[in-house]
Amino acid sequence: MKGSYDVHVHSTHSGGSSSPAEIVSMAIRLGVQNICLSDFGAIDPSQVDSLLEECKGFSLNVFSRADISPKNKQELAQKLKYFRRKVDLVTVDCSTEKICHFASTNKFVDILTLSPTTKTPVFTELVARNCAKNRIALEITLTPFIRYYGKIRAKLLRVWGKILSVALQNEVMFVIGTGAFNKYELRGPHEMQLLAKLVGLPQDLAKQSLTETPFNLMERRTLERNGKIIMPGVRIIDEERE
Amino acid sequence: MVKEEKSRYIAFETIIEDESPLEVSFVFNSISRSILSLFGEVEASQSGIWLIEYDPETHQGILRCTHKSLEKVQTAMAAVSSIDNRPVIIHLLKTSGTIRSLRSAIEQESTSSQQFEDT
Repeated sequence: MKGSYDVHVHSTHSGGSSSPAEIVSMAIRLGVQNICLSDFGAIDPSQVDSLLEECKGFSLNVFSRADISPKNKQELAQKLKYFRRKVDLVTVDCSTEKICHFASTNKFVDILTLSPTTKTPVFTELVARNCAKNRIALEITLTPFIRYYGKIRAKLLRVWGKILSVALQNEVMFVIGTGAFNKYELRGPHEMQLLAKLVGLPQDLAKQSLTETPFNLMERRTLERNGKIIMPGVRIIDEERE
Repeated sequence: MVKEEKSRYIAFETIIEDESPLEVSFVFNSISRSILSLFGEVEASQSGIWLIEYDPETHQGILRCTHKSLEKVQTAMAAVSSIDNRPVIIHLLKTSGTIRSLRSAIEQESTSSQQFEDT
């Protein structure tokens, strides 16, 4: 599904204050074409289909995403095994450098998220190299840049400036999400692009992070789930010919 | 001879809870405060922003700024999260070099969407 993506939105199922239907209708109004609801780490995986059903009938594609916040390597492996085949995107919240490192070496991870209060050392050169090698994207969450102002926003911009310079040097992929907890924290694709540029992402990369990168991540996982990928680099393109 | 700085006109809409009307001064103040907070006093003085019109009923308005500061003004508008202590989204609709072309583009868009809805 091409078009613009907002890869990080919360509804009432994961601590947000707007229902999935409210989120979806606001996203349509703002011109977003695809959104990923981050509720799937918080709900029972058996409810995934019913939640996606709730969002059907709108002219926008809704994808499922699970946010994992593991405390150690074992918990990370355990949660990845649990969620990988159930949702479209799996993201890992990197609270420590160790978690960040483990997550960046795991090919089942799609996106790394850094908490707004994170310090630069969490996202090191090594993590950046691993991310680039394993095609794991780094998410730029925009809500903190909208919600806070003054000293806090200045500090956030400084920290993210450093993170981006490490990521850009190592050619890490980026995705952009609002991380909205209510429908008024959503933004349109043009506004998201402008805010990402404010954080320090070059314009062409900001555009790519809103459209191409999330599309490629989704496509890769969809093919894997349908059994079309035999091994990395080998994929079935025409079953009938077999 | 001093060369006059080029202007840009930004059409926008405010999306607010319960769609209640917003005061024009509140809208302008929140945008200028956002520019001041994000880019500082120097940029705010050079942006030359002016709220040409704002209709509290339709929640649509046109803001003028200088050509050079267009992107910064748009970013500041996107960063506005509340007006009059109410959560809000400032949605950028269109940008143009003249008010006339901006108005005709918006009119055209609303007519085509109306036609789409009618069919």
